Amino acid sequence: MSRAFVISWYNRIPPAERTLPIIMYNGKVYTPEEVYREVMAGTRLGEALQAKIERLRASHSYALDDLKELDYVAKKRVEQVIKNLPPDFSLVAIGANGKRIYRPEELLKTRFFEKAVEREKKRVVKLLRG
Amino acid sequence: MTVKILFLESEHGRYSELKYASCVARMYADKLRRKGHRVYEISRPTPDEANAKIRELNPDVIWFVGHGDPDRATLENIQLWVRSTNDLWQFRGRIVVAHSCLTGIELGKSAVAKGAVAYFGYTDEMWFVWCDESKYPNCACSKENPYGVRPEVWMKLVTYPHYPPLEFLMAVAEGRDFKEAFDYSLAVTDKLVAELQSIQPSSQQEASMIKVTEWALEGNRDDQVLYKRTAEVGGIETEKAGSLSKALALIMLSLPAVGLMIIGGGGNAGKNIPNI
Repeated sequence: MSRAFVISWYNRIPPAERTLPIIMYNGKVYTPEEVYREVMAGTRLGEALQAKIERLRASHSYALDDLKELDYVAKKRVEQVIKNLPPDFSLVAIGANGKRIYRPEELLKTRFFEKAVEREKKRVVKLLRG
Repeated sequence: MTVKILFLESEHGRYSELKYASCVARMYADKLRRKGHRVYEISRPTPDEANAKIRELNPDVIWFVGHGDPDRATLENIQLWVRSTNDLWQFRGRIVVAHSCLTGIELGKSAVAKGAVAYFGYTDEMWFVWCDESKYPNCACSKENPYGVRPEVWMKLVTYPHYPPLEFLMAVAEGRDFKEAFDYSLAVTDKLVAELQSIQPSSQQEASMIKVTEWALEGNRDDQVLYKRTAEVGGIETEKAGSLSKALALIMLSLPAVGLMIIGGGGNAGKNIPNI
């Protein structure tokens, strides 16, 4: 993958998602913005991130470790989004029993969170593949 | 063909959360009227008022919003309206669009078994964006919001999660068959999500609110269900979003292999959806 390809890949990512984690390397998550910056600066980390993106883009199946990382990245994405919500922002679910109005910090303990993680896994794969 | 549609527009549940759906329903009621359908709206109905109107008007379609559980639905002030153990005469011979959590698990199936023509509902919680009404009473169907979100963006966040069931209703009124109307509402959801994804947010906070609304739309889409009567006596047919991809995912996850094929989403992108 050439540097031009990284530019093109980065530009295809919606602006709102460029600051959300997309890949994990050596135990740390990186956003598209960070990947872009490292690759443009020609750092060793940039090379490693680029190589990993290239590998993940090309594969039709993921190894177990990749899947674990994907799960972790997706969780971090959802947590970051929820953390950035205004504290008095709410989501409602209109069930008849129980608590059904959720503040951001409460969302982390709901099925909404779990489902969002599943959705973000697919989203990350889609974004990696450009 | 002219369709007679009754909208049961509750507003108050625990707070004024139900008016978020009802105000969107009113927009659709106006659209349907302009198309020549006979549309009736009952604001903040008690169960008795709803039942009386159903007897009086004999509608072809009933739309309602209210807190729900697998076996029951409520109306204004969470007053119990229907239970799956009742005879459900209210739904007999009609199409029901339930803007309500969870009733797609049991109530909808029971309604069709007891004579409803079709029942659109949700098998899980149905999510949407809400302002704390005690502090911010003017957020529903409004550009006003306390979060500094641009007015035109806020309007999308606060109304879009309510569109799909109403789009199903519109499509049915326009003469599409149930399967087509159901698929159409799924495709509308995909289109709304794509539209949200294309917004350039003005802040991290706005970006997060957009993303959460996307998740709400997508989650609701996956839990959408339609029961419809078949030609056989007592026969019920079910339409559900993403059932194929869920089944495939389960099969894939049960494989002992070290790798897992990632299956593309069963989205409806590319279908011909007019602007809404």
